[in-house]
Amino acid sequence: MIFEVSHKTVYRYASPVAQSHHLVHLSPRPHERQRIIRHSLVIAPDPAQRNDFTDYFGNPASAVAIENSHSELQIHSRILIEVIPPRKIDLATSAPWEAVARRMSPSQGPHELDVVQYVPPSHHTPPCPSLLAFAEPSFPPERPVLACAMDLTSRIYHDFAYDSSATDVATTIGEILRIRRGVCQDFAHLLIAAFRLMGLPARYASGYLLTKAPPGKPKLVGSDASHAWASVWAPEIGWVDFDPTNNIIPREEHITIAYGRDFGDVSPVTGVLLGGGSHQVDVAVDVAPVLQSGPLASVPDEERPAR
Amino acid sequence: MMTKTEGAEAASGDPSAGYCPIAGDYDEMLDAQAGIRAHWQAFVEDFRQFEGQERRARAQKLRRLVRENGIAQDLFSPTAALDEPWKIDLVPLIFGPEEWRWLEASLIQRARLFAALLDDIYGPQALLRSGKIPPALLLGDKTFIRPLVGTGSGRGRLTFYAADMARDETGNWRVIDSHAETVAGVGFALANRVVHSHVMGDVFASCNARRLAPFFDMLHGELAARAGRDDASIALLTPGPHHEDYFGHAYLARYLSMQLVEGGDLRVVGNNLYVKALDGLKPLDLIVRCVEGLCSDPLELDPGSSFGPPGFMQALRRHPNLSANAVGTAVIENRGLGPYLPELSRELLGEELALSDPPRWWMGDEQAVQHVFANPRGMTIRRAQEGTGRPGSAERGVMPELLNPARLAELKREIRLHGPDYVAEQQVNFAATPSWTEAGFRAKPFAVRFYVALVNGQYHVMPGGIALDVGPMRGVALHSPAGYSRDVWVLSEEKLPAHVSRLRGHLDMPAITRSGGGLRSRVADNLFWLGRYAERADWTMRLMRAALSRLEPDSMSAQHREAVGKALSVLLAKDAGVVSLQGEDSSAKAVEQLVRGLAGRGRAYGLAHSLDLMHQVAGLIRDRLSVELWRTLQNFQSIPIWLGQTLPPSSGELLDCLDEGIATLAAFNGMVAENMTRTYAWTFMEIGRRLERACNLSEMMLALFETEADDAAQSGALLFALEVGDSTLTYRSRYLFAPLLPLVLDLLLVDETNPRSIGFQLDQVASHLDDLPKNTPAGPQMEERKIVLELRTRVQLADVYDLARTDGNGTRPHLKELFTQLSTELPKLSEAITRRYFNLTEDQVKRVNPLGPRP
Repeated sequence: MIFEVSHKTVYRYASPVAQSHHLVHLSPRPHERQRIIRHSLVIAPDPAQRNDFTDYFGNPASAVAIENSHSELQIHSRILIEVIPPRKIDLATSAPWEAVARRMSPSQGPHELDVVQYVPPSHHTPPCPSLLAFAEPSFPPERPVLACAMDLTSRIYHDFAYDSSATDVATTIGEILRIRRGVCQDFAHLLIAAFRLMGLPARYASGYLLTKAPPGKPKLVGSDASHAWASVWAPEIGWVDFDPTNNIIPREEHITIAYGRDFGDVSPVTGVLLGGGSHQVDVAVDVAPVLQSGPLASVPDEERPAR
Repeated sequence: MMTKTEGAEAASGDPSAGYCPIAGDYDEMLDAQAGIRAHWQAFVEDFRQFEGQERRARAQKLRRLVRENGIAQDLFSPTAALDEPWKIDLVPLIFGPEEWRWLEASLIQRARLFAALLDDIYGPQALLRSGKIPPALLLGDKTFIRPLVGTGSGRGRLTFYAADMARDETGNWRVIDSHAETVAGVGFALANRVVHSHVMGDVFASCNARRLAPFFDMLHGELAARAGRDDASIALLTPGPHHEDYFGHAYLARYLSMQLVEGGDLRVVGNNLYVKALDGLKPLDLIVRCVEGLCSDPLELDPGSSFGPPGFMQALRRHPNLSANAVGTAVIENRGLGPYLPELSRELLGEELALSDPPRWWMGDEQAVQHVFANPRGMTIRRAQEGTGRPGSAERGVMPELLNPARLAELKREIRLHGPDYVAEQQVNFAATPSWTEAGFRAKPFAVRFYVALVNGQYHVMPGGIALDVGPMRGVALHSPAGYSRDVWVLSEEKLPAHVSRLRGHLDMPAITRSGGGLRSRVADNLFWLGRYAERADWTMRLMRAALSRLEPDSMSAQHREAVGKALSVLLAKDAGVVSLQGEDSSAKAVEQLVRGLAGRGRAYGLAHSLDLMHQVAGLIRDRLSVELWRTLQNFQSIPIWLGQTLPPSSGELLDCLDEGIATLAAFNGMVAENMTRTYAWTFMEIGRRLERACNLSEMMLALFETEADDAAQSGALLFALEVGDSTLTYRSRYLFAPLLPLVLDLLLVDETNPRSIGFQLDQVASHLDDLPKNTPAGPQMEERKIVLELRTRVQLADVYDLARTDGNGTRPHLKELFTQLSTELPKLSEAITRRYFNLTEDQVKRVNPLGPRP
């Protein structure tokens, strides 16, 4: 399936910003299930410095510095991308979780660092006693590791309420477990933290989700937001995504931008400003399917080659 | 345990005669047969020559020098001036040439091993892949800096390495901790040596001990070479005065002639690093990094810390030589690496490891956890990574065998959740070394820190170090909260050349510099406010003093006190929500209440708060202030009344205190006037002081004379104004009659020859502003010059007789207008100066994360 994504962020500052540095994760990550047709990232005002690079986790990133005084900043990412559905996975045939944990343990080498690096806890996924109590029921002896993931996904979906006003980026795992509410970012962190506490690798996925419009109503432009889910690893199978917010294994509707240990590694836009006073942010994300014969020409020429 | 020395072996006798080693511990001075070891004989011999009186005198001098140099004083502890947490023993720790050669080689081997380890961790990561190092040990370590993996190593990632060592009962050395994040307090080692050799220099020379200067000379040469050009700009990046090791940073920076900068001074522009100075951005070639790596870039690393500039990682990716040590070196401090080091040494160096850690277990390994809890005897559990602090600040850890069952269960739960953050270690015995007491030498257990530096591709060990007393228990850490330290002497077999001071070496080729330019905006900002707060405190004290002296029942009428109430209300009213003086109540009691209110805590413009702020900004630029200046300010910190905690019960005593406080500030101002070179630093302090004085005087004049009063009240107000404005004598010398308003206005407003007049302050501010660097062409468009020019002209043209005139409603419209303009424009002048010179300092930095709504 082919999607056209537009992600536009506008910052308005109460007083002029003298200099700003930003780190941007808005370019889609190359992926065996993703074919990037076009991508453009336009920043206004024009940055004095822009370094595009691949970060430690393999995600495309841009480090941007604006050195002229400005009161408004616009970052507009446009993507044309094809998503290929995953092959059918039989959760029951994945290795028992204990075997995976043993494989990660210190005495076992050689190690695949790209997997092992997702075992230790990170800033947003610290262990805590209530997490242990929450996680353990999903890990009975010898249960296949992907079945554990599906069980957690489903438990989070059923036991936690989606509530965008209940948490913020500083809310801890312990607090989320106490109030049983949160947003997709919190649910992804929760699943990841539980896996890591059991000695298993799990990573954070940031991206977009096509939200289907209610029947008979046109899809509202900008009503979609960026999304987050989790990804866990099984021997012989590799990384498999789980979306606890929707209780599904993503197929074609999830567009991946970046993988990291948690939100902190792949935040779409982060920055440090000199001056600026208070600021106001407007974000508009639009994810629309494109018919194969459809208007590909409506997407501007890419500003730089897709990776 | 220690046994008492035999008899009252008098201070003048043989200090080693009654010396008794600690049973079971290795002793540095005495061998197993109780003979004095060869490398101690010269020292003990020399020491025997001293009379008891002389030993005492030397010990006292040493204590005094430690205090005067401010070693390890915690600026922000309220009792800073009262304790001396750092002490230096008269007796050093001494190493003979042979043992030193072995230690040197072994320490260099460790440094080489860690350098090779870092090159792999930040390069191919083969050791992690193969499991020679458990990957989770490093990948879960916060000090592992991912954005720098794959960047070049420049001239070497590990320039500074330090090891904390302990000698066990058999005489073998163990490395109890490794330091690779910063310079690990080498500034303290240097300061200890400088101070100790002031007192023991003669003995040092006669023992033929090695000096530190050649080591620092080499280091200086290496830093210059790294920076890559002759007049390179090198800076030591410190977390600031709040850090325990700040003294060491400031000391080292001064010794190696580096700038001392904080994160807020730095900017990354176009992938290059700059210092923000008054006259613009100045490029920096090299940073000696004394901030933790994780805290050095709020953009890519810990968003909550800005001890380095945003964009620092980008600059580092472009310039691998920019920082020494490189960012990310702290991973090798992880104590969990200990068990893997012997194998890594074979793998990376092809050598057996000469110096090992005490037996250690990383608690991220399930089998290790089981072993430790099954065999808790002699074990200590502590964090695998501890961060930086001053030497001796390491935590002692928890001993599981001493815990009750509940606490042990708690510890086990903690390990289940956070195991990888901990290590368990087998405690070691600490060897003992002689310490000086009035009754002779006493044995004290110690641990010692040695320093290694990479110079021209080779590691060199500093022939010295810091030894610290560690208390009598077995342990694993250089834990010495009391800060009992001693110098470390390394004896040489060769006859050493005469003393060469690093500083003297520089004088051979004098390059005269006078500008003192390149003043950093942040420092200028703090100096400006130091000037303002010192003046504000002075003004408040003068006001309070003048008020209190009017309280004697027979001295003045209530009408005279009216002025007092008005003047005090000006200050009190600056606090939001404070009720001003009750209109008619100018009884002695009411006025005294007001004065006490101003002296106590909790008022934004109260005396305690002004003094507090003055002390804080002074602390932030302590490296810019002379020892005398600093000590004068310290007077206010050591006496409870200045902290607003207790006030003397009688107003007479309060008056005495105020006299003393005003004298102390006068001493401070005198030193500033007489001893500070006329650089921009001085200029900013002056501008701050002048502005504050003009502002306070304007506000008071407005309050006192805005409306007409009866003769007695008017005369009281005039006398009060002259007293607070410190111009009573001048008035009396000029006029033989009682004060008249026009004449007082001339003296306190217009007269530019009176250093207390508003005219004088404006004249000074104008001329100081002219001296400052002009980034933009000077002219009427420069806001601050425009304001000062306008105010000055108005004051110069003022007709004092006209100002004194009242209208029919009992007010003085022209006086009111002029002083209102002064009171509103002067704060704007302060803001304009702030905008032009101090902007872009750290408090304007804002982190925006996340920008945008959350998924």
